[in-house]
Amino acid sequence: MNGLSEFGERIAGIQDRILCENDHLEEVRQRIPRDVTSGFSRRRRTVLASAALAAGIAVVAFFLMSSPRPLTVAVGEASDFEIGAWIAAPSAESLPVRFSDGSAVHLDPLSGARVTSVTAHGARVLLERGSAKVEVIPREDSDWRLDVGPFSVRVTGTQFHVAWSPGQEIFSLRMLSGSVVVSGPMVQQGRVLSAGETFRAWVGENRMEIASPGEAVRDPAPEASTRVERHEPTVPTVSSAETGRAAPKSIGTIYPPWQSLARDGRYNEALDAVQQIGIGRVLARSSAADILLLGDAARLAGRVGSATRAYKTARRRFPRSDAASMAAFSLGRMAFDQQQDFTQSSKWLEVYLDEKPGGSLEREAMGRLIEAHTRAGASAKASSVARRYLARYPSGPHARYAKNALDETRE
Amino acid sequence: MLGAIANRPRGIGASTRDSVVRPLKFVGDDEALVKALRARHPGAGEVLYDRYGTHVQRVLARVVGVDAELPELLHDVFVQALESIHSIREGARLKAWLTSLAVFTARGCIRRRSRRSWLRFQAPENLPERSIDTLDSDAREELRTTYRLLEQLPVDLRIAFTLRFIAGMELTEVAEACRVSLSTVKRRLARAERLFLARAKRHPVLADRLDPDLTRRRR
Repeated sequence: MNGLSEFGERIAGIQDRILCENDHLEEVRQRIPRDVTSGFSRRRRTVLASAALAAGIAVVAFFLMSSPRPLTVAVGEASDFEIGAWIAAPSAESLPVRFSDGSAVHLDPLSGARVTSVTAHGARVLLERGSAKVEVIPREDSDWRLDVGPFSVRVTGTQFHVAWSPGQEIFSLRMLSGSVVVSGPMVQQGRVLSAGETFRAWVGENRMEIASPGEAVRDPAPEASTRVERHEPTVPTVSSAETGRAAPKSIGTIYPPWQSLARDGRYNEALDAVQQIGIGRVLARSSAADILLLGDAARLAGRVGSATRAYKTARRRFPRSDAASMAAFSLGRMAFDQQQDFTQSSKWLEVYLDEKPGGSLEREAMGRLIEAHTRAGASAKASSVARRYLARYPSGPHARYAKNALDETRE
Repeated sequence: MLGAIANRPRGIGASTRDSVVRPLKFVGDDEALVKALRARHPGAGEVLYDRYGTHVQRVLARVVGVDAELPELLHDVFVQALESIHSIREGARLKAWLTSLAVFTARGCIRRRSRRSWLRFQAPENLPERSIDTLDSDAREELRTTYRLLEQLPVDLRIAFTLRFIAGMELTEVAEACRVSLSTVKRRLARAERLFLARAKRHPVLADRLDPDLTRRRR
């Protein structure tokens, strides 16, 4: 009790400092005397307007009540879940996101996702990073969609494991049962995947592969037994030497220790190994891909300072490269998720969008940019991006949020 | 006792044509102020605001958090107070009555936001306050995390918790502000405290603040 009182006192003190600097008292005072006389009638006007509104609502409610209710969602132990909220799995255990029809998305440790919409027939889930096991209970009218980086997975009733590494732009989907349709870069028309198949795509390399049942796709290069489909780039690209991004390595490549640790998700150990060598030395000598890997490891370990240093080094050492743009996106995402500095976040997301128009992360960058502008209080900018987003991705995962941002500006 | 409120005095030294009407400042206790407000004496509304504006703003900030909607809520409380001044039974209880109005205005705001939450990724209360740049980042994070956790509590538990621990009110004051019995407040507080602490322990920023001994032992 004493602890809480002291804590509360401290919180009150912080609030008072803000109120002191942000004195709304005078602003409100200017409106009070006017309201003393006109305010009396306001309620009566409101009552009439409310009556008309209530009649309208009753009609709408009648139709809503007769339609099926949307599924409910529970994350871990908590049932008070808010649609669109950021869900982050802890570092040591997976986090289940359960739906009332029995379907579930089990986020692996350190993965992050959002449930962007829920209907009576399914939901739309955005996996922003990491991996998850998805179990959708088959029903005739199921409507489930999973957005993973630039890929979209349409699900009917199935189980699969999906992963996305935004830093390396690698997508993978391993079917356990049932079937899905995956669409995105290199599979614009959609590709059906059945039980046992594994799909893997290196977006930056414009390369994908599909392993048939019984064949394994090994990380990161394809085996001879897998069907490899090389897609010619539709736009001119720079070579891996120019970008600094390492080409996919062959099986058996021995990675330096810190890279292996980072790829295994042992981020703190990877960073400790880097410290042994000296972070300055590593940043000065590594390829762009390794610097991004180091940045991602630091970001996921919560070491914002080291991550910022790595991403900024990637931009300085490899200007105008894919890696530089990727670093800008990562800086924007880190400012958003970890620092909650939405002004800074919007700055970096805008850099990414300027540098990579039509890039593989454009949809996510634009969606986040709307949120960042909204949360930074820049509603005009949020509306402008929302308009662009809706024109380009009318059914994207942030479409509803974009419409809402536009509606709020109109109000 | 009705305080001194002059009826339309003229500005000193001004000609009749150019005269400016300025009501004299009201002087009197709360009971007199309530009578003046009921009689719609000019200047009484301003005195009410001068006297209790800061208090009401604080109550709102404690319950809702400091955010962009605060001025609107403050305005709503005073418009409501002026409209319903006839409903107050004891003029001497003016402050407690205003506190209760503020609490219920805040409650309405929280409920409205949670109803609208399905429309948006982030509720407006999460919008960053621009002027808090001068605060150190720890304080900023502590404040944000606290209200993010409070959002997860049922609204009545959140109100009881914030009034008791952040606004520092006595139990009887909390009960009066929430218009419930003392035992109900105690029950709500016990539940709110348990839920808040369980959630706070999972946040390093708050865990350290709430239980420094535990943190020392961990180290």
